[in-house]
Amino acid sequence: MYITKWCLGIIGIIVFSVLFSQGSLYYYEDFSNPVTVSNWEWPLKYGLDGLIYPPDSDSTLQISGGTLNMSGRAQYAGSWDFNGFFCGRAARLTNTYNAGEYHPFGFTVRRGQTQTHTPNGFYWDWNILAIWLVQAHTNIIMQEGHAPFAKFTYFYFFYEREGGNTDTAGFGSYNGSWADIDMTSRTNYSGHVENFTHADAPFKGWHDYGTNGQNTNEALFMLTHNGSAVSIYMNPNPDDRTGFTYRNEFYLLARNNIAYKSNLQLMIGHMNNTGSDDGFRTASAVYDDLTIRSVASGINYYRKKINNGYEMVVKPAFTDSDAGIGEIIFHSPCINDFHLTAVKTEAGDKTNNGSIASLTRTDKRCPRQGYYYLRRSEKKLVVKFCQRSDRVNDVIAYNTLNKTIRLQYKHRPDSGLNKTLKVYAACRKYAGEDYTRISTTGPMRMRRVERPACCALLDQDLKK
Amino acid sequence: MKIIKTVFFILSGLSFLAAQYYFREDFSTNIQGLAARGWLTNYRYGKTGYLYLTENLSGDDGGNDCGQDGTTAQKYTEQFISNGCIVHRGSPNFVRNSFSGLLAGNQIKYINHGSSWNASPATPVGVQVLRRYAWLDPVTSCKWGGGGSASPRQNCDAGLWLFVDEDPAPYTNSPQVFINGYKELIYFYERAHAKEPDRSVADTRSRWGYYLGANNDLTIDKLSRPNGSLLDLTAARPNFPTGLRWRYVDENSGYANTNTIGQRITHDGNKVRLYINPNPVNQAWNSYPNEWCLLAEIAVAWNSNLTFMIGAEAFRFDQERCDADFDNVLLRSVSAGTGYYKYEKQLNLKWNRTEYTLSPRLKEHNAGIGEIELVWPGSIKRSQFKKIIVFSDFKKNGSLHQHKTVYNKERPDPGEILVSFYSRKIKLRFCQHSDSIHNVVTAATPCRQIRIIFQYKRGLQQVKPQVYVNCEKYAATGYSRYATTGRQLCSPAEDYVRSVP
Repeated sequence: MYITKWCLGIIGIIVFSVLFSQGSLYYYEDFSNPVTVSNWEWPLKYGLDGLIYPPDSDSTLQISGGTLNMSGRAQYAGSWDFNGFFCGRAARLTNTYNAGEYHPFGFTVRRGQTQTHTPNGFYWDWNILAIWLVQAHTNIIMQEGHAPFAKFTYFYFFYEREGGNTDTAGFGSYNGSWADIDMTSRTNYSGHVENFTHADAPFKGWHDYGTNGQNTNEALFMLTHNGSAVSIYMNPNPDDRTGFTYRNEFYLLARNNIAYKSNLQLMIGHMNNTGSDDGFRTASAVYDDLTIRSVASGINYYRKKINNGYEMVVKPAFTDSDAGIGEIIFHSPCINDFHLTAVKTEAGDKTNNGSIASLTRTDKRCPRQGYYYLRRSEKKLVVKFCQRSDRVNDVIAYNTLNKTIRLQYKHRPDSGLNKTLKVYAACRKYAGEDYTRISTTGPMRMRRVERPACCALLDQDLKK
Repeated sequence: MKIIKTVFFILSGLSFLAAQYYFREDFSTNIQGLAARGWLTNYRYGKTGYLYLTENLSGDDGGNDCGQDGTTAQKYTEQFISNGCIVHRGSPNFVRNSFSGLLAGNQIKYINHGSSWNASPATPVGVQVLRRYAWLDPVTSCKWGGGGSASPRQNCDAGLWLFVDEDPAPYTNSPQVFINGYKELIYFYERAHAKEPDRSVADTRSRWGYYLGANNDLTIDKLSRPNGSLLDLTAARPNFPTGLRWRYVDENSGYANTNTIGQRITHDGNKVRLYINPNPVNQAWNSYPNEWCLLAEIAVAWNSNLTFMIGAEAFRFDQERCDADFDNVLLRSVSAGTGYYKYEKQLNLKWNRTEYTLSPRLKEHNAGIGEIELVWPGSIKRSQFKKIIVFSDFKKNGSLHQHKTVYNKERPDPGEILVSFYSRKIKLRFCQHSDSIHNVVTAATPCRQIRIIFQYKRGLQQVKPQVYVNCEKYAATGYSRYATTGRQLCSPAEDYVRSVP
């Protein structure tokens, strides 16, 4: 009888794990070889006004020298036929993705040297760098030579544009209209606010190109989609450059609600909207290291009553490409009534041995192994594990022997917390920590499930 | 059972009260009088935002006095009322080459909507307008051949906008002020080019489409009619030599389109739908049907604080005209909310019987219920149903009477209910012959209930249909008080299911 219960329990856990949808995302492109680079299509003659083939162009958009790089203009030399239209060039990753709260999508891409420039004098004259998210059409061929003005019905892009009668370029998000981003006040995950425009900042040069200015500061951009909103983040100092005051963390630049979440593709390119060739005009940039990495294949949890409150039993599933769980985020309008009493993971005894033990709470935002950091903000409570390096960390990942996380907490029965609580897992970059396998998709919501009967049996046995 | 029903109908009047919309503008005033009716006129808005360009005859014109020497018909934009229409004439992007490439427009915007126009499946929003006249000529005579070859860059358009009314910024009528535009909008346009990129000048025609961050030109050869069949708006017909894809450029033998065309935009909270009615006033020479035909369906992530505007815009400084006359703006809901009560009974091992009782709340300005749709999430077959019976007070005497169920008719006659099967839905239509001969359930109907009884195979029991009401215009119907919002989702009351073992 005892053996039967154990067998049932183990089978239950296996079934419980298999029930996760196969939601892992992983893709990495270092653009090292234009011949072997897979699933990319370039240069697609695509800009905001769709597929356009202007008669003259000095655009170079190519994969060479280990990067995706571009310069020049999609239209120029007095080719006036499409004057005023945004003609572009882009490289498109033809893989398609779906996004949802339980399986968010996102990617990071490193941007190196850039320059955007347009002579002053014309309000309508823009040179633009763009990172796109589009919904692939099933009935429109979006390739060279096909119907002019063919478009993705649903699209979004993050831009840097220069022109409009000024030397100063600016970032923005395009979700149906131009929306410039105020860079004087951007906030990162942990609530730190940064000004990216102050006078002594090396990043002022990002936007003040003048005629020949080049921005050589590298940055990581991240675009995420959680099924209902797209978010754009920027890490201004991904290499911890000496002398830089900016943190090696991601700052939220823009968030927009969108109505599409399936069949998604990404593109990187540039565009301009005049055939004029008077003066120096370009939108040039170098991109590298495009990465798509999910937190996990899927994460379920169930809740059970314990003597002094409740226990949330988290059961994640991973592939070896997933980032793993470096943070757990509790979200509820009633979060002030949520009192965490214990966090138990495989890292509790600092040994990857299959047994779960309690972590100790610390006030350090980059906790050591065996500790966790707790941060509370409006509607959120964040539990953060150690992510010091790829070798020294408490991230629950594919190679963790016992991947179960037990979170014990209390709340008033009538607080509304149980009905409103949403729980997410993430693995994000924080300054001072060097765990490199961060997720690019943003937080992944855990799916609450009924406590399996087989687990109840197993729980009973574990108490014995 | 009777007690539950009684409570349901007592409460139904309150519980299903939802937002209802009614707005009508026939432009029976002068341009100054429109302000008092809630309109903002001469609103200089185009796709690229708010841009006020003055009539500057001596300004930067790219070196050409194009239009100012009396050699062309180009003139500055203006709005006025004439023959009961709001008339747009001239070009809002005028003379100053510095702003060429920015879509500068001139609109009339409805601003008296408050914050109550919020779209949802149960409270859809829909606005329609009749365009009486259009002449979209993007090329001035002096630029035809002399100032550069005809190309796509020469384009202009006119149409109807629906958007979230968050003022982009305080605006002034100061010259050359440019302000970024509304962030959440859709614009349903007809656009004319001097030359399309993949066509010859002579073969270039106007395009119908929508702007949702970028122009999306659409094909108009397969629009869905209300009965589900398709309509081609590109084929030549009397007074439509090139269908609705008009040739406007006078240097290319083009001219104005004087056929009245209807444009409608609906929003059900999740999707925007665009409709064209190619003959909304039954013009004698017009052989198109007087129907609102579906052109496109677009998912959007915004649905509150909606309003609309109407106008025209030009892309360049050297364009001749974007003239358009609009009339009869109309926004009318089906009902002020409709709830239903469902009674289900298992007849035997094979068949079930379901009875829906609809209880609409109807106001004077509502269209009323001219048809009902039962929509299943998956496909259905006609063989899964039998004995579809509908009762309503079509005799207007305060009692429910059984309609005669008919199939395969173009339109139902008085006392009939026309049942049509589609892949996922059943549509039940009442008679809508005219404003005096119809069975539409309106505010004036003494007993405003509708009862639907049908038997279906038991397998369908697992998937419950959604119930919608509508009052749509068909070519063969003459009831004029139809709805402009599209179908309206009904709210289920507490389902009362009794199974017979």
